[in-house]
Amino acid sequence: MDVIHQKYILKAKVFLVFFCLVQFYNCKNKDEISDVKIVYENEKAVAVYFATNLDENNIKIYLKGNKETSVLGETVKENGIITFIPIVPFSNGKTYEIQLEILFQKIY
Amino acid sequence: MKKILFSIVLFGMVLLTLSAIKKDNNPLTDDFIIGDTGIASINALSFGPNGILFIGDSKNAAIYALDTKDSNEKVKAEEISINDFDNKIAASLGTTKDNIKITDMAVNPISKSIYFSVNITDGTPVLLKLNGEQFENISLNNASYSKIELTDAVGVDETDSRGRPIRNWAIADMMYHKGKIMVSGLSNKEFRSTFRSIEFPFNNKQDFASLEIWHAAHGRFETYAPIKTFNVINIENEDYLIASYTCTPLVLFPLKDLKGNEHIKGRTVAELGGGNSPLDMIVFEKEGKQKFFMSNSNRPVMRIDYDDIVNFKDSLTEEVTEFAATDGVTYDNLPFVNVIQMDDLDDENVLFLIRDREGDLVLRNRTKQWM
Repeated sequence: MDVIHQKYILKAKVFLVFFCLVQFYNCKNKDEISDVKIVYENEKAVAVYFATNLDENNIKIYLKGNKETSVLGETVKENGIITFIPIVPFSNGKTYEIQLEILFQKIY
Repeated sequence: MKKILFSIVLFGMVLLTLSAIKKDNNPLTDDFIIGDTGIASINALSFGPNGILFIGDSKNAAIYALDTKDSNEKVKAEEISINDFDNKIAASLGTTKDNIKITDMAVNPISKSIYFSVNITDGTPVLLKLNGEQFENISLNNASYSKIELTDAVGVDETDSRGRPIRNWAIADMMYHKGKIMVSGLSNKEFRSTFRSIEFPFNNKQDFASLEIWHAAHGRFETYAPIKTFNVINIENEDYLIASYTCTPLVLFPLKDLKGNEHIKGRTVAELGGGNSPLDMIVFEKEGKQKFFMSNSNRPVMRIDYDDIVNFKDSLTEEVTEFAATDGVTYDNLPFVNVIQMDDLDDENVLFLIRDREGDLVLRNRTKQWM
């Protein structure tokens, strides 16, 4: 297998993981997140971005199976696109979940 | 004319104000720059004054002084008990525990905040601060820092007699003491084991001494192994380095002699047992008496009385032939095994990162009363 082939497999793996989870998320929150894309630098997945009408402060990313500790990184929103840059690149083969977290305020 | 005079007075006042502001600045951080530190690995952490964190980077063979700006004084730390600690750190980095290595832990003596250095398997170094049970990333790409490169550090491609790379030991341990950052590690010289004493703020001056010890478990004098952990002990108004090595000699060096590129022979005061590597050494007083505590790779935490060290006037010169037997200054084994990281937390507690009997990695404080 050549290097280019391997690179595409790696891209497909990470992308598919995100894609599947976002599709699952969209079943419940229709049209809130779309066009999920991974940014690669030197064959490392260094960021993920997606279109959304949600507030970037309410978005968190978790390693699947660990809901206690969100992935550390920087979240920025520009023109309806949220970009999340983890402090270390996403790991190959791991599954991540994009989650909307809203703090409910009780009004008396 | 009045206008000119007024302008001169005004200019003078501005200058005075600026100089006053300058004087209020922290002289320790005056030469710090802001930007990407370029840190390539983190092997050791040690806090200095005013929340300044020293970071030892063996890959770059450099010491970085990072201004954490974490200087709000706190007398007592929070109670700490966090299970599944390695999984939590890994999850915060978007990976699993098999992809990380916690390389050091340091408590800020002012704020009592806890810092961890983590190296990811792909080589990325990360510095984290604990906030409750969550982690905060301390940026290494946009930080206020200064840096000094070690002279004559062991080479990138050098190996030991068994062919293992040794660059990782360019910096083995560090400690800030009386205005200097002290560093143990390996050099590229004939006698590799080295001790450096570097003035802070950094000024390109590095004091250097090569070290030689009698290694009782190996039955020979050695010069090539680094001090794995050390502290300072004051005996009769003189500061000594109290240092421990793999397999596990305990050696005293007069601090005043460790300079000027001298080759210094230490006084081995104990053989604490072979087949073991010391990890961390802390010191505190209990009932008015100073005691040293050392965590180990293959032995429990050891407690050594100051008086026992002071009263041992001899130097070990004989081989300890029985495997893992001990000699010299005695110690007590404390009921704490698999302590991976250990540091002084506050006046009443120490902090352990400990692998418990179920294999879970746990971060917890421990009262000094029961140590």
